[in-house]
Amino acid sequence: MNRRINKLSKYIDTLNEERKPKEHENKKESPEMEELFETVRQVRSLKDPKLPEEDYAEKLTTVVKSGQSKKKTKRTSKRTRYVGLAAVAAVLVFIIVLNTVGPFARPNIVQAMEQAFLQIGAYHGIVEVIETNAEGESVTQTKVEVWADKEGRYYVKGIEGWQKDLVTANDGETKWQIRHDDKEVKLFSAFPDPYGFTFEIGQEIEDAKKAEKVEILGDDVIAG
Amino acid sequence: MTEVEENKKVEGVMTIEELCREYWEPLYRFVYYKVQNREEAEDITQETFVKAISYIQENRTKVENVIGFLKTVALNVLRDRWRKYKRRGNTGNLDDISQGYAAVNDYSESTVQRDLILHALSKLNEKQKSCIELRILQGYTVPETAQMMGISEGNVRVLQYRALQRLSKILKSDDVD
Repeated sequence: MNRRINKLSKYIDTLNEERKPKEHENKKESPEMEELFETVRQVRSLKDPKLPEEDYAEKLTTVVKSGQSKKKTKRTSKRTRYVGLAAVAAVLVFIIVLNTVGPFARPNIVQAMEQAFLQIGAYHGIVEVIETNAEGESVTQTKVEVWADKEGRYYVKGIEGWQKDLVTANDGETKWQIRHDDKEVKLFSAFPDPYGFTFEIGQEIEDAKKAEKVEILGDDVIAG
Repeated sequence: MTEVEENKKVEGVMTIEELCREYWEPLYRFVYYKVQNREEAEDITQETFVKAISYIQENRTKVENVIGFLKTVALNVLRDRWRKYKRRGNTGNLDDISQGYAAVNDYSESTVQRDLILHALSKLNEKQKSCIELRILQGYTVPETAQMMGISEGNVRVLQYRALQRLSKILKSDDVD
């Protein structure tokens, strides 16, 4: 009972702060709590909405146009590579997440990534994680071939680094791993598997959305 | 085709800038009504524009009722998000949208709905009413509300919980007259 009372109070606080409550992301509440949340929203609807900053329309236009140009990129490259998966196109922007604490700073590039990612159903490509030290020396930490869809299913094959020759797959029902030399299949439950593999684009975008600052190092197109 | 010419394709005559400038606010208000927070309303409004404009351009569709169409797309975006968070949902299909549908369940400007909520509020006792007024309509924190009402913070939380339970029942029932 106390848990529900406190949860409802926190929900009201979050809306009062004009932030998205976590309950809107994870709709696993009891019907009773859902009804109470709905009632809070209904009462709040008596108030005038809190409008965005003055430059919202301008920012919106930029992001919408950016979303359109990403779609054009997808259409022109469709004829060429990767036939296997349903809709395979993503703009992959390499970023450095300098601080993952602040939830508010969301530069346009992150929004553009988010919008580009919304347009696709699945993607395929080689993901390389490179660490660069203060002296500018770069070392490849891992390199993997990835086939992934947005339902959380994926196939990842290690090419370089500690995952070399390790194949991990998750079809939403079961997760299994095979290492070529071991001749042994290891089975795991598909869930929980909150961070399926290193640099899953959707997860990276979610992390970047929470970042205080991001820096663009370059861009590449994973097309299909 | 230049970018400007490409943009002109939206709605036949309007550029993307004009479309965003003209319709962002009514759409935002509609979305805000559903989610009741600025952060989410901004995100969904943006996603709605991207999807709606892509659909219009790809299908070369002439949209008669632009705001109705945008509201319908927004509802689909909201439903998609709900489904996505429940894991394994299907993606909404914009082809399923029939224009004019958006008017259904759009209470964002409905005075009838406002009256129902006000009427339900009037059925609460004075303490409950004050608590809901301070916490939800005026946006005070629990400590501030407790101080103004002269009760403990724990009491504020319990009071608002009971009040919302009562409101929920009243709004669900036919007993609104």
